[in-house]
Amino acid sequence: MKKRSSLVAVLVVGIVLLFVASVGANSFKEAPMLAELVKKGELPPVEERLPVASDVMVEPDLMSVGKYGGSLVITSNDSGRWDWGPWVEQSMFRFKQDGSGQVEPNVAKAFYSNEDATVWTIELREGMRWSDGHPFTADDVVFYYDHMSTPALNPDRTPVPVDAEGYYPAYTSKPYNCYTVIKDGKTYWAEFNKIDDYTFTVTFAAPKPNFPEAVAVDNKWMFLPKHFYKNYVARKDGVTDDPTFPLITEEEALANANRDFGMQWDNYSTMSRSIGYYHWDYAIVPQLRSFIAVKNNWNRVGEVYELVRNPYFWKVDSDGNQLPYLDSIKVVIINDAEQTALKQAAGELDISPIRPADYATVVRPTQSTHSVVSWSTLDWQGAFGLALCQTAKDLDKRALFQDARFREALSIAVDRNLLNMTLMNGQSRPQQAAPSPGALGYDPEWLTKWTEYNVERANQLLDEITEPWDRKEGTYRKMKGTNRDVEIVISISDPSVEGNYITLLQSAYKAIGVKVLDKVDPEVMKSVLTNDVEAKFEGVSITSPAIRPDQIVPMRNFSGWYGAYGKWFEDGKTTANGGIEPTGDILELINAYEAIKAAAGPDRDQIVAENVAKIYELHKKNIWIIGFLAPLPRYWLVNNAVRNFPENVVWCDEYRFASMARAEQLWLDR
Amino acid sequence: MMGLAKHGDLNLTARELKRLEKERLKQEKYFTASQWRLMWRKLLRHRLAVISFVLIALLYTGALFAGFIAPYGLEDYSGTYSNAPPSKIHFFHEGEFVGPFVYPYEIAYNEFWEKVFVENTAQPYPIKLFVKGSPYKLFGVFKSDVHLFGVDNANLPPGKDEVRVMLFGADQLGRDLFSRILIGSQVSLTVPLLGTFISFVLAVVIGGVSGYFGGLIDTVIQRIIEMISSFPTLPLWMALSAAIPPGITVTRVYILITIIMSLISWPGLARTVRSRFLSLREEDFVLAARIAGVSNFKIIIKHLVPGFMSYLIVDLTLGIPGMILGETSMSFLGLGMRPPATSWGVLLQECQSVHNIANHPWKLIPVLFVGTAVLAFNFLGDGLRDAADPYK
Amino acid sequence: MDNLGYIIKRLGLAAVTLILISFAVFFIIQLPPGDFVDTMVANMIRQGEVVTQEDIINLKSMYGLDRPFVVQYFGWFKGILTGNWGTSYYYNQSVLVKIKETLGTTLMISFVTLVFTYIIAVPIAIYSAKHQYSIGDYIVTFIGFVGLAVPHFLLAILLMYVSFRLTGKPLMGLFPEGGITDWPSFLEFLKRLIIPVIVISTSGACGLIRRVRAQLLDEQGKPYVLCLRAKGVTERAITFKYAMRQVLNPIVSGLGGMISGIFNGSTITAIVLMLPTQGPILLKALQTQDVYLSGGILLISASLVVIGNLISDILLAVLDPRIKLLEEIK
Repeated sequence: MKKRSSLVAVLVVGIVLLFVASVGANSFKEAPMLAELVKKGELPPVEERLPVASDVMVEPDLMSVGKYGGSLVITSNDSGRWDWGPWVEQSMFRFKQDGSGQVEPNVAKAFYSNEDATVWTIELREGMRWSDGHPFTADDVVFYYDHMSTPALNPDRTPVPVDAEGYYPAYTSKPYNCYTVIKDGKTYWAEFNKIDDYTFTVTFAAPKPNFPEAVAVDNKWMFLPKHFYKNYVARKDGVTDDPTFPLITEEEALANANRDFGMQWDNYSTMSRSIGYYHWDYAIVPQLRSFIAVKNNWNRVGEVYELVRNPYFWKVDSDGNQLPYLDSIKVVIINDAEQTALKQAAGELDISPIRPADYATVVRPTQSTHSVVSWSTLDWQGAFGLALCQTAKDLDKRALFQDARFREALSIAVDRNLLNMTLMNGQSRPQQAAPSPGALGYDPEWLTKWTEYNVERANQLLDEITEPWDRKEGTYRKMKGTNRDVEIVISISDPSVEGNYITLLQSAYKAIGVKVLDKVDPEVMKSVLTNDVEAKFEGVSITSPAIRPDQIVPMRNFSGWYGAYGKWFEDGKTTANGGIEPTGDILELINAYEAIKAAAGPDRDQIVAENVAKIYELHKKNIWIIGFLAPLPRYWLVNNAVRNFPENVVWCDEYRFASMARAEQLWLDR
Repeated sequence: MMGLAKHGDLNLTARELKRLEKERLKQEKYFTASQWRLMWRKLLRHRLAVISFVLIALLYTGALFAGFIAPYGLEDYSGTYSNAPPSKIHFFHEGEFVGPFVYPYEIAYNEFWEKVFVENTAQPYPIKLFVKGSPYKLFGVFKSDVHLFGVDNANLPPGKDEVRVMLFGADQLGRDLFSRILIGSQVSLTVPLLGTFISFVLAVVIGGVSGYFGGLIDTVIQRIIEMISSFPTLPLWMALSAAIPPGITVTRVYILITIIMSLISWPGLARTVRSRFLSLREEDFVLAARIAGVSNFKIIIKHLVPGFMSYLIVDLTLGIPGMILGETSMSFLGLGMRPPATSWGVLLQECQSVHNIANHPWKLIPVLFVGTAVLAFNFLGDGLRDAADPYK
Repeated sequence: MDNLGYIIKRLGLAAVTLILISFAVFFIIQLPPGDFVDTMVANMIRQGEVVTQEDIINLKSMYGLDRPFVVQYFGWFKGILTGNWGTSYYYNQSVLVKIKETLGTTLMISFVTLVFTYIIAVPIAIYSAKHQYSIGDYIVTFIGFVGLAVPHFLLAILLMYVSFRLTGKPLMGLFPEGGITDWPSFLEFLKRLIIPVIVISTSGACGLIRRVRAQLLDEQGKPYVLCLRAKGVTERAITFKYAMRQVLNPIVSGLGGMISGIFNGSTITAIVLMLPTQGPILLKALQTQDVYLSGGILLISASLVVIGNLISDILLAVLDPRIKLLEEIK
C-alpha cells in the first residue's frame, strides 16, 4: 500500500475539479471488456450509457487514475449481505470521506431546501441508467416512496394506526424516521412530488433541517426501478391513477415474484420485505451500484460470489474513464473465522479485516505481499462494555442497577490491566466507555472516570446499599431487605466469543460479593425487546446523537441498557404495551433528544450542539454502560497490488463501513 | 436349627458346619477366582493392555488428587503469564547448582504484536515441594492449600507479579495448563465411566428382555432402539442442552451431561446384547435350564450374559472413549461445562483456533491426554477381550 | 419365499420406525425455546429495523407457529407424504429444492468415505488378527486408532493447518472455483477430498477394525477351523474362504451404525472444512429454528440409517438363516 499524504489528496481534488470543466462529450473511455461488447453490438457505446456530460459524476474521492482490469478478492459469510453490500452500494446522499459528518450528493446531482427547510428539492442526473440500461428518473424515487416505503396514510398524511382495521403496511414494512416530522404531537409523512424527469421535491408539514443526513443514515436508497417492481407491487387503491403502474392484486404480485425470482415465498408480506428491502440479494434486480451480481449464491458457504462491473455505472475518473476500474469483486463465502485466518495467512485475500487475536498469524507470513492499513472507529470501548438493564424486571435488581454506587463498584472492582493483558494481548489500555480522542463528545475526565482498580472502595460502596456481608469465600451479598443474592445474569449470544469476559468478571465480582451468571441466548436482541435481558455486553459506536441517537437515548425499543424505557417512547409515551416511563436523568436524555428533533430556525445549530453536549454530560455522570478497555483501530490486510485503498478513514454504520473505500476507484497494479 | 443351637456340643457342630460352609465357599470362590486369575494371567501377556492399564491408573490417580498435584487453581489468572510457553526449569544460577528453579519474565511486544517472554536472570525462584497456594478441597471434602510443588515466592519484591512454574505453559487468561488438565480430568474421566455404567445397565436389561422374550416386546423395543440410534446426534445435543437452564451448579451440569451421553449410547449396546441373545437362546443349555425350571431372569444373568461377555467388553471399552470424545464434541458446540469449571473438551475447544495452533502449540497438549485415555481404554479393552475369550 | 416374507415384514417395520422418527424429529427440533420468528426478529433488529410486539404476533400467526404442536406435526407429515416438504423460512425456497442442492455432494462424500473405511479397516483387521500381538499388529491397530483419539473438529483444523504449512495453500472447500471442468480441476477436487475423507472415516474405521478382528480371532479357535487345519487346508484358504464368511456378520450388521456415524461426523467436519454438504445448512437451520428445513434434512439422514439397518438385516438373514428362523418362531 502506497502511503499518500493529504497534500497529494488535495492535489488530486484540485485536478479533479479542473477536469470537471474539461471533460467534454465523446471523450469518455471504458474498460476493454466493455469496449469489446460495444464492438459486438451487445452494448450501446459508453456515451449512451453514461449520463449527459454535464451530469456525469467525477468521483471526488479518487486517489489516483488507475488501470482497468482484475478481480479483487474479499470475504464475507453466508448472511453477509450487510457486509459485502456497502462495498458496492450507492446512496442518494453520502457522508464525506473526511469524517466531518457532512453529507454530499452522490446518486443525486444536487439538493437544496427552502428557507424554513420544509421543502427540499433534489436534482438527478440526466441520462443516468439502471444496470439493465433503463433510464433512472424521478419516477423511480416517487414510486419507491409512495408505494414501497410508506405505510397507509390518512389524507392529512398521518399514518393509519398499526392495529386499525384494514391496516396496510409499507411494502418493505419499515417506517423510516427520515420522512416524518412531529407537529403538535402527531407524526406527519412527507409528500414527494415529481417536478420533471430529473427533479423532485420533498415537502414536510414542519421544518426538517436534517433531512439529507437523516436520509443518509435511514434510507440512503430512496429509489428502486419502477419498471421492474411494478410487477411485484400490489397497488394501493386510490393512491395513484398512474397508467404505467398496472393494478395487480397481492396474489398476482406474489405469483409474479415467485416465477421471476425462482423462489417460493408463501405470502405477499414476506416477499415484499425480501425483494423490497433486501433487493441487492437478487441479481435480477436492476441496480445503480458500482458492481452487480450475476448469481444469487451469496449465501452458499464455500462458493465465490462474484460482483461484476456495472456497464451503466455513472461515475468517471478525472481522465474521463468510466468507473469502476476493477472487472469484478469476488466475495469468498466463509463462515468460520479460522478459515478466514488461514486464507489471510496464505495471502489469498486482497482486502480483509484482521481479528486482533490473529494479527501475528496473518501479518507475519504475508509480509512480502500485503500491508496493514488501519482505519479508526467511533467505538466507546474495546470489545465489550457491560450494560445493566435500567428496567430489569426484578424490582430489587432494578433498584440496584439504577444506583450509581452499584455501577461505580462494578466498574472499579475490575482489574482492567488484567483484562487488557489477557483478552486484548496488551494491545489496548484501560478506559471507561466514552468517546475517544478526536470524536465528538471526547472528555478526558469521562474517559478515566471509575477506572482505578480498587476492590476495597467497591466493597465500601456496596456495604451502603446491600445487607451486611462478612466477605466469606463462596458467599455473596444479599440485596437490601431480602434474602436473595446480589446476582447479575448476563445474556450472551456466543460463549466462544464472550466466555472469557464472563470468566474474568465472575472472578472479579466474587471479591465484592456479587454473583455473575451467564445465560446463553442466541436471540439476545429479541429478548431485549421484551425486556427479558438483565444485563448484556454492549458496544456504543456513534458519530453524534443528533445523527444516530438510538444507542444512547431511549427513543426506540432497541438497546439493552435502557430496556423498556425505549418501548415507552416508541409506543408514543405509553406504558400500555410494556413500556416503562422514565424519570430523572433518563427523562432528561429524552428531553434533550426531543429538543434536537424540534430544533429549527437560525439557532438550530446551537440548540443541537447544546443538547448533544447535555446527552453526553448525562452519560458521563451516570456511566450506564460500564466500559473496561480502549477500542482498537480496525486493521485491514491489503495486498500491495491494490491501489487507492484509503488510510485512516472512519469505520462506522452511519458512514456505511466499507463504502468509504469507494470501491469503484480501487485498481490493481498486477 | 434354632432349637439345636441352645446346646453347647451341638453349638460346636454348628461352628464346624460354619467352618465347612466357609471352606466350601472359599473353594467355590477359588474355582470362580481361578477363571478370573486365568484371565488376569492372559491379560498380563497382552503387553499393550498392561501398559494401558498402568496409564489409566495414573490418569485416574491424577484426577483423584488433582487439587493437590496441580500447583494452581482454576481462577489463578495472570496478565503476565497470558499465553506463556511452558516454563524453562533451570538448575544452575550463575554457574552454581541451586536445584530446580525458574526465572521471572519480562514482557515485550515485537512488530507483529506478539508477546515476547524474556527471562530476567537476576534472581532465581526455586521450585519447592509442598508449597502453599490457592485453596482447594481434596476429594471434595478436605480443605487445604498445600500443593505438591510450586514456586517459592519469598524473595518476590512487593508489587511484582507472582512467579509461576507452568509445565505445559499457560492459556489466554494466564492459567496453568497442567493444572487445568488435571482438574479437567475429574470431569472427563468420570463422565464416561458413569455414563457407560448407566447405558450398560439399560442395554443389558432392555436388550436382554428384547432378545429373550422376542415377540411384541422385541418389536416395540427394536423400533425404539432403531429410532434413537438412527437419530443424528447433533440436533439431539443441541435440543437437550438448550433445555439446560442458566446458572445451575457445576455438579448438575455434570450429571445432565452424563445422562445425555448415556441416553444416546445405550441403543448400540442393546442391539449387540439382543443379537447375542437371539443366537444363544436356542442353544441346548438354555433349553436344559428351562426344562430344569430355572427362572427367566436367572437364565439371562447366569447363562446368557457370560456367553457374550467378550462382546460386551469390547463394546464397553469402545464406549468409554466414545464418551470421552462425545464430551469434547459437546463442549466444541458450546454445550459442555461452563467456566471456570473445566474439562478436556473445554480445553480442546479453546485451542481449536489457527492462531493457537500456529503460535501457542502447547495449548494442544490436552489432545495428547484425550488421545492417551482413548487409546488406553481401547487397548485395555482388546486385552480384556482376548483374556475373556471362552474358546481360547 | 421365506425370504420374501421376511423382507416384506422387515420393510413394514422400517416404515413404522420412520413414522416414529418423523415424530421424534419434529418434536426435538421444536424443543429449544423460541421459534423461527424469534430468530428472524433478532436479525431484523440487528440490521436496524424497527419491530413491534404486534409485528411479532402477526408473523407468528402468518407462519402458523401459534398452532398446537400436534396440528403442526400432522400438517408437516401430510406434506412429506404428498411431496410438499414445506418452505424453508430462512431461504424462502422449497425444502426439497434446498435439499437437492446439496444431497448429491453429501451422498458422494458419504459413499466415498464408506468405501474408504472398508478398504482401510478390513485388511488391517485381518492382518492384525492373523498376527496377533506382533509388532505389526500393534502398529496397524495404533494407526487405525489414532484418528479416533482426536476429535473430528480438531483433526480437521489440524490437517487444514498442516496442509497450509506444507503447501502454502490451505486445503478447504470441496469444489475448485468454477467447478470441475478439466483434468487439473478434477485433480484439485481429489486433493480437497483427502482431508474430509480421512477425518470422517477414521472413527468408523476404528470400530470396524475392532469388530472384525474380534470376530476373526473367535473363529480362529473354533473346532471347524481346527478340522480344516487338520485336513491340510491352507491358512490362506481358511481365512478367506471360511472365516471371512463369519466376519461378514459384523461388517454387515454395522452398516446402519456406520452410516449414522458418517452423517454425524460429516456434519461437524463439513462446518469446519467449509464443505458444500448438508452439514452447514443443517446447522444454520437448527440455529435459526427453520423447522421444515432441519426436519427435512434430519428425516433424510435418519431414513438413510434406517435403510442401512434394513439392508444389513436382510443381508444377515440371507447370510445367517438362523436369525430369520428365530424371528419366525415367535
